[in-house]
Amino acid sequence: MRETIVCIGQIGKKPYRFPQTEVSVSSYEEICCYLSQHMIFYLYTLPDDDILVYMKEELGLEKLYRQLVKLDSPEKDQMKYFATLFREGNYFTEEEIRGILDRYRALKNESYIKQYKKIGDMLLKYNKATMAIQNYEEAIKHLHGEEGPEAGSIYHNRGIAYARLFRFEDAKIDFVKAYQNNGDETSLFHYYCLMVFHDGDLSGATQEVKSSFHVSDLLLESFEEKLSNMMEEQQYTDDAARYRKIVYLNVNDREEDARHYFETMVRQQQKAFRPQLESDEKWVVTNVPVRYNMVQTENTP
Amino acid sequence: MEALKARKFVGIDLSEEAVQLSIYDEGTEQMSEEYFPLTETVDGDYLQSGMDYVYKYFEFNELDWMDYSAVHFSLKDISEENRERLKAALTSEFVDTFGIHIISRFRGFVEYVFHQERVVWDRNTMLLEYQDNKLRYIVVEQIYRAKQKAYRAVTQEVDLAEYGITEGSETLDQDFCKMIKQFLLKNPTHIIFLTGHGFEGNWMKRTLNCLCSGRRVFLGQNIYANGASLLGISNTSLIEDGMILMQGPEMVHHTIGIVAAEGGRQKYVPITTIGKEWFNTRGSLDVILDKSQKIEFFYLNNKDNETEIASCEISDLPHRPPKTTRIRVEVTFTSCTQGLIFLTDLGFGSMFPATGKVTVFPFSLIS
Repeated sequence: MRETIVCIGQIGKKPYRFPQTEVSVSSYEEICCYLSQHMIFYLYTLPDDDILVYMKEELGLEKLYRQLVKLDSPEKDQMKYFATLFREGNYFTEEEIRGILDRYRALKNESYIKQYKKIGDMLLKYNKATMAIQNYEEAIKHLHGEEGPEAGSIYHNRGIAYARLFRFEDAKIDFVKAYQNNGDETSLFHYYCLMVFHDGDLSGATQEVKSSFHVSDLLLESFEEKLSNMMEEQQYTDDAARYRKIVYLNVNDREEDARHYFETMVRQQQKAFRPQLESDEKWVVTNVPVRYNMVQTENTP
Repeated sequence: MEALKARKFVGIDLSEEAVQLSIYDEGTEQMSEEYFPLTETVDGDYLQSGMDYVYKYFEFNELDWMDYSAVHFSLKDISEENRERLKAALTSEFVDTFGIHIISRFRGFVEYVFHQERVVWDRNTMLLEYQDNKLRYIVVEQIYRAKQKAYRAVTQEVDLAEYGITEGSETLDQDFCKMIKQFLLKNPTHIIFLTGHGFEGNWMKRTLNCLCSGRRVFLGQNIYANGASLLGISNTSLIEDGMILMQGPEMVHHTIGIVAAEGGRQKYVPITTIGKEWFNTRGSLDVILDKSQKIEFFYLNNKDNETEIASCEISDLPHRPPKTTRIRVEVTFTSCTQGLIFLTDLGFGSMFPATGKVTVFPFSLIS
């Protein structure tokens, strides 16, 4: 059993940042690891040419660069590109490479609905709500009005993405649609939470859920309990501590300090929030499946 | 377009007796040699005096140090004290430009031999240094005449007084010839290099006949500096034909390595190489930890073909999934048989940031 893997190439002086997720990598092994876990982004396109230049110039992998450049064209088999990349070093065993490529093949064979949903889920994981929504919308288009658990899960996840962008009304609609499609209480609970936090009316939210969705008292009780636990947990977060400090400063007549502290907190939150708004049009377009493009063209008058 | 400039390398040998200065021009493949006997030294410091000669030579001949790609020193005495004294004798500008690269005279000769045509090193080659009534010899020989060849360089010193030989005596030629005949019977060789003041004075007649019988013999005083200058081209610890086992003073004959999978096979991957003095032996390798936080080191004794295994557990690393911890392994020697392995956690990009934690793993080579 091998315990250590010998690295190839060198560590780059500056990192390479993957545009979709903003994950930074600085070595061949990190590139392999990242790509193997994010193959969903490369079903219809290959990684940017920049990464090949990075491998050549920063990592000193000239030979690999030359091999991959030959495979870096749309008419070539993408599997060959990844197989060449993974087989260059020692990071993956042959068995692991076969496993990755099998999963990649399986992903390629999945319906567009699933592919778009998975891309959206991955983007949501990296706080790219806007881009996630774009992919969920594509998935919903391909549903063609079809209902069911699959539709439910797409609506649910898009609801989360909307909520992250503070588009609470859109989020509420999606959670309701999700519940109607998959009957999952989690979607309903998210709807309930939004009502409480956004409208600030606990009894109104309880009444609304009870009357509109005919849920049992037992379920409502469990919602209330979960909500109360969440609120308690919130008290121990950094944001809650910062908020308490601002209140403390205000109470003790240190309004200037409180204002300064508040502004810093807002700036930090804005910075953290910015990626959610980002949208890479080029990337979204290049990821649209070829067949879908053709259908669109045919429908255009 | 700027013309490609041929590299030039400098080799300097420093001893109490003289300074050898050799300059090798890669473009013309020519070696120029200078030899300065040290008649007097500054405060008894022959290293400082020797370097003064070299600096003066460069100044007098209007040579610019910047025209040279590398400078290597060979020293008769390579003790730590002497190496420090040499460091002190060099200007900071010199050190900044070239660094300090010191090798032993033993290695100087071996490097010289292996930078020559194949015919010089593919058969047994010997250096005889006759000085102060002592004969020091270095033999470079082929030890495996199989598909995978290997070469061994060994050195020994013979006190000629034990053979009734006295430097400067009237019977020196006769006595030396008698001794060398027996010596060459035990140590068959095809090429002999002669160096040292003992061979000067035109006393060799029968000895020379005996040495030259079926052999090629060369006499010169700059052999060590020549070897040092040729080191600038490349290090010859490994050649196409196989390894070179250098069994000289302060030489390392162990490689430190790990066993890792390469191309689907378990393979020994050396981190350090043999063929260098311990103070010049160091190596670095980046590895990824798989399922455990443990690295097994294999100490391979190339002289006796024995292997020792030592396991190093890297503790206190943050919990990470398999294959997401990159460790930089750096090996340095503190003597021929002891050293330290430094293991630095480099993390795994922004996915798993580095802690920079360094684990120090000392090693002691038994065999």
